[in-house]
Amino acid sequence: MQEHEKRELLLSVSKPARYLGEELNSVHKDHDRVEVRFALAFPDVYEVGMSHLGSVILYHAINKRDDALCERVFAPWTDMEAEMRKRRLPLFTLESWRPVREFDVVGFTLQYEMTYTNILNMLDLAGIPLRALDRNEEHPLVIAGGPCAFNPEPVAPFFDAIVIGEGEEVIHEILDAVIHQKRIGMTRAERLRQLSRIEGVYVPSLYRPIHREGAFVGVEPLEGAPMPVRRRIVRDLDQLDFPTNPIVPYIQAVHDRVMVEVFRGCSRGCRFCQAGMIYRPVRERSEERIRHLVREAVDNTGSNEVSLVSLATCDYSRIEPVLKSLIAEHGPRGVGVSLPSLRVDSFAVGLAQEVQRVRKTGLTFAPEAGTQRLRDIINKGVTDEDLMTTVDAALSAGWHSLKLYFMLGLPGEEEADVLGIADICKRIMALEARGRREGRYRGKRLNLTVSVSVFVPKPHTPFQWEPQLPLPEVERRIELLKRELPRRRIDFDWHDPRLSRVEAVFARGDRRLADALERAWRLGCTFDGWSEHFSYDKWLQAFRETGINIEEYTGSRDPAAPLPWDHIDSGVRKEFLEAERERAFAGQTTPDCRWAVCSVCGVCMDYGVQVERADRT
Amino acid sequence: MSPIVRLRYSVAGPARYISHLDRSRAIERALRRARTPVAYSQGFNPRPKVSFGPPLPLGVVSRAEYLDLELTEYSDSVLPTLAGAMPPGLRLLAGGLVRGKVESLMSFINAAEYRVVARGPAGMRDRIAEVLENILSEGEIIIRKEAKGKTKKKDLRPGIYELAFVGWGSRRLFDFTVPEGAEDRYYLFEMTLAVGNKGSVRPEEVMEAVGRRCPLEVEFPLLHIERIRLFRRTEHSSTDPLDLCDPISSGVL
Repeated sequence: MQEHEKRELLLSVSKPARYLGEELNSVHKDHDRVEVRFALAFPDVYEVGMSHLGSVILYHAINKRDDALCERVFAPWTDMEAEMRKRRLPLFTLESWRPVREFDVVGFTLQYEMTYTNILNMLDLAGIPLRALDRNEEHPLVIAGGPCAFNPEPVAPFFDAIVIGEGEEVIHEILDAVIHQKRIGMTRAERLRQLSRIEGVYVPSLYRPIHREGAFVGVEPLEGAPMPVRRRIVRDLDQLDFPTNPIVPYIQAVHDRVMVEVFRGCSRGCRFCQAGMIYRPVRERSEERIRHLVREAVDNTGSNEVSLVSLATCDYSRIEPVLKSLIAEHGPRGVGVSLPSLRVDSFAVGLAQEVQRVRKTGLTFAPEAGTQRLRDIINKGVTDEDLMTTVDAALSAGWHSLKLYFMLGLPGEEEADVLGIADICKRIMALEARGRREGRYRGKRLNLTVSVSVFVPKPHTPFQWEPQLPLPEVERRIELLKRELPRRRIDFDWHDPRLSRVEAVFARGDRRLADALERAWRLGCTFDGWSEHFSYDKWLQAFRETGINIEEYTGSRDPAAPLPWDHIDSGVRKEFLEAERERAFAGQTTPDCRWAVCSVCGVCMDYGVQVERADRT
Repeated sequence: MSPIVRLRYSVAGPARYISHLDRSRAIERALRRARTPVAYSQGFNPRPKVSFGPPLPLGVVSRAEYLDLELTEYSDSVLPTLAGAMPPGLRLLAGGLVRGKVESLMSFINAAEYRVVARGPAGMRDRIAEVLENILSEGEIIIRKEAKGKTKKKDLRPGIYELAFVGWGSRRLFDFTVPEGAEDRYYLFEMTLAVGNKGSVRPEEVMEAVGRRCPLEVEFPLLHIERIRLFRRTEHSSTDPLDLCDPISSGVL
């Protein structure tokens, strides 16, 4: 593309910096001097993708190799897509502006089901056949990874291979294999067979789902493909490279800060939470390593904020000392430290006080459910008392904006649990009024935000067999809550339940959904996760036209029947999930194996890994 | 008193495609990477004491933007170190220590010189020269602007100090090359316009007025605009922001 064409294109779209590819710390390599070229594809807009830690890690892991290069590509925003289609410009990577279809491998991340139509759109813009079966020796290998890969079936026909589990090690095995394959010139079928022998690599074309009388009965491996496909787990996080020179966007990303991962995994065992199952066991980095990574990251990016990321950073065993030393070291340079989420207890409020000397933002907590009974069912280890002491600590420390996050439609939820949410809010408002009278809280009056989303049953969780509440009932409960919540100084917002419905269909979907997905994309669905783009009507039409019965997918599943993702081994045993489900309905909680006894989920035994704590080394 | 360093920098390449605000954030990060001893504001949310000249719109390149930097201490390594830490597209060109009381860049600078390249049919040189002559001889040049659903009139004439149509000659453009073989379809203008607190005229507004009288492509993506000078203009003189500074040994980079 000529220089003036590029300039005119960039100046015709909103936020041209999304497409520049010349940001600080971006890597530009000579395409003729490497053996394998990898296009790292994120199926959402730049600002979202640039906030994704997994992509940062893979980008640097691949570019560290002399024989490989990795370039980024994001879903072009709708204005850019229109310009590209008008100019017949194929999807390109940012670093070199070369067509994606000229790369050896295109790797998508599957972060969220509602980005799936963007994947098809990107393949189409790239000029790559959507279905793996329609690709030939000239097309790149199209692969994927990420949390949604744990149920790969709805998108299986679109990928040549899908990685299950953590990518840092297996990516090198895949690249080595691709280099070897290119050297000796293998057929595509041979290449896929060879890839399927790498642990953690699922090649969908080598597995055939079997349906009898419309019911899923299992998956059959072909040509000796491994069964089940085992998840990849990194053993020693401290030894692992972690990028401290991430790309610095010219425009603000969704999370405009540099990320340092303090640990991986979470074993709190919330029964609805997929991340709490598929990233086990907990592996903490050492304090020393974290301090070193933060120092390098600040020096290399000049960022004014470092985020200590993990699934629940307050749970890091040395969180208090590490925070104090980081603030002492970086505070004077105008660099803040942030925590992505807070636990519901006063200790967490204390940590928030450390990091937020200014009360500029509010605090968010996630009690998830409105009553003790339901919180026990979901194994959310939070009591009513915890919640009230937390709120008291936050108000005493001067916060006046709090947000509470709840789920509606959790298994076992009754009307009393919905009313319980309103009750919690009333008690908080009463607590605040009393504290003010007694002079314990000062400044502005409390403003409470109540945010509600609909429970989506996820694979590999104890609730994977549970139904999603039917739409009319969800709507009734939202209305009920709306009516019961006091209006004064309480804001109520809720996630679109229709979006959660489509998400639920795909979360536990099987391979038959691929046709519905393709149909929805052909009807014009893209950026479904963006409320202004989501069209429920088009999705209903797509399901109807491809013979998909939504109720069948969102309804309850028989624990005795095979599940479409049974051939994917997350490390957590199915018996554990079943036992946890039974304990849920008996109202029994299960303690966190980090601090209590082993709960025998199976991952340590079956995968030869163990819990790593920074306070025990 | 804390020393104030005034810097001249250029904007091109990737840095032309971002807003003034994003550019100032990029410079703040460069200051941190370079460990520049910049003074921070007091209060709960300390911010580096940096002040900028008139904002450069997204898409426009510049050879001469300015910023003032308040330091806690000055040393000769400050500028070279910062120059090495600037992100792609932003380049430090020169610097000096501000003498005496500082008038902010925003109030000091009142004029900007631009080069503008517009595309059009070949063989229009005479026509364009005539159009410019006509425009400048008029008492007012009215364009209509849409703002918040209302149409407002704006008279450009008081804000146009100079406007000329020039041949390519020896002029080299910044971050722009005319596509080969198409030289006769690109037209180069030079103009000096009002900028800053007391009203400003943008080059694309002038080109809109020109485009009404001859078939040039004056829509923004098709125009190339570069700012080549920011200065203080009075009836008899023009003063560069760095003229008010003491040169520093590492001041020319």
